[in-house]
Amino acid sequence: MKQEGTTQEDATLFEPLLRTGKGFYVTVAVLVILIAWGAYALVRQWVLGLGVTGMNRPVFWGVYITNFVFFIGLSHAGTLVSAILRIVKAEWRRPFTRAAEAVTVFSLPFGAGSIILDLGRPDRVLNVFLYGRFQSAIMWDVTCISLYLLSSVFYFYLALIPDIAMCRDRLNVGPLRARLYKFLALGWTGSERQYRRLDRLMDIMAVWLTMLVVIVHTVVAWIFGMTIVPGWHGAFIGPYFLVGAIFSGVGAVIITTVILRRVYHLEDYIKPVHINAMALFHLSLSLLWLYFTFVEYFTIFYGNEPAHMVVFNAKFWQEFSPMFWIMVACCFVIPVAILSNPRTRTIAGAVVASIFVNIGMWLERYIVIIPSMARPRMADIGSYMPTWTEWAVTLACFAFFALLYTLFTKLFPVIAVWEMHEARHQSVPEAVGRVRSYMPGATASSLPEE
Amino acid sequence: MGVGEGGIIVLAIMAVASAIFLSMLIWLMQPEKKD
Repeated sequence: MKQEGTTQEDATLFEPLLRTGKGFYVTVAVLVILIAWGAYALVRQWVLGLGVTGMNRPVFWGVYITNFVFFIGLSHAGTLVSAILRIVKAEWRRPFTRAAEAVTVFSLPFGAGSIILDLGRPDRVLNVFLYGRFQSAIMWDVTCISLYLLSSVFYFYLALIPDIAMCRDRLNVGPLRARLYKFLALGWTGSERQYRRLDRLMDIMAVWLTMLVVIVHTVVAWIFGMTIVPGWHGAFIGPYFLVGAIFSGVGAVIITTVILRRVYHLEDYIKPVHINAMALFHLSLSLLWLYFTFVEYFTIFYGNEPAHMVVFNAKFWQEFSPMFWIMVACCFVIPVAILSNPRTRTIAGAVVASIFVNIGMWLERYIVIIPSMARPRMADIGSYMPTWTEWAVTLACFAFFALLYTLFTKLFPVIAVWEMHEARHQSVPEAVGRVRSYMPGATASSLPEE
Repeated sequence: MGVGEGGIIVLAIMAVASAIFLSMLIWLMQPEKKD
């Protein structure tokens, strides 16, 4: 595939790399302040101990573990949008892929890092490697998440190489950035053979990562499901976590893409038709989430096992019921009401629905973890109220994620330029040939070449 | 399985994955042969 003319065609995509407005500095300043506040809270927690959090006995897992599951879930969207839509050749994926992969790469460290935040002695995380035993579900988690992070970063980088080479060859930037582009481009020349090989590697990685997404979130769920704690122990918790992860992740991709569209004037690339496709996908995930939630709780209710029913009642009508029903409203009632109506399924509607879904999914993680801890089998009823320390650290995690994302958008194109070029010059005729091959009368020899 | 073997397994898996990804990159960037 020739690269000639790519930067002229897609000059808008390079604009954010060359021009920086006041808004960028204000955003970075606000995010840094939030991170500094969180860092202060965290250092204070390390000095004074976990007593400054709301965690106690028997509720020894709180907001940090909620964040762990939430961020890991968020990270699944990148792979899903990019990899699965690539495998099924969904052409509308192109403006989303890079933004989605960035969500994965930048949210995953905060998922894994939340475990360290939860430790009173963070240095003891090394014990996992020094004394880890593979019988423990935590070791399965460490394995899967590490492998997922490595694979996601590689996939993200692979898709970035041609664009980095374009930045190296065509942008007039300072010496430091020029050297960075030169180093990261690895000598990419943009020859036909390199593009062919890149396509093959991307396909292999897409299949590998799709498999990893399923494994990783199932194993994250097994940290809970492999115990005999009421409300956690069940075969269904893996798929339930997985659907929730994809659900919240797709919402995160919609929110970030629309912000990028607005801030960097990408209206010509991210059109209502793209958001509409994602919103419909989100709508189907909302219905799937309701089905999974129903199956999860109806099985517990019908089984009527006393210890499980204590947790069930706490969620449905007692202490945790406001959160539970807000979760149902955020994850099902509001998004379905907005997204099922073509008049409200607009860009703004999709963003509002995605914000509610992400609030709802965070609450879902909270609702899964805390009530089961607060209603243990063999100890008194407990209670949990997060303190400002936990909220400050949580806010700092989100701010850090946003900061990394913002800095990334100033260094690399937020839409894969080479993929847009490929769409214009290769995928349109390929798609026409593919559709024709589906028609009656088409023979195997008329199938387009892969 | 004994104490500490979990960590070794994690590191071994990561090392194998890193080697595979690195070889993919080398294959991608292989210079074209000149006639």
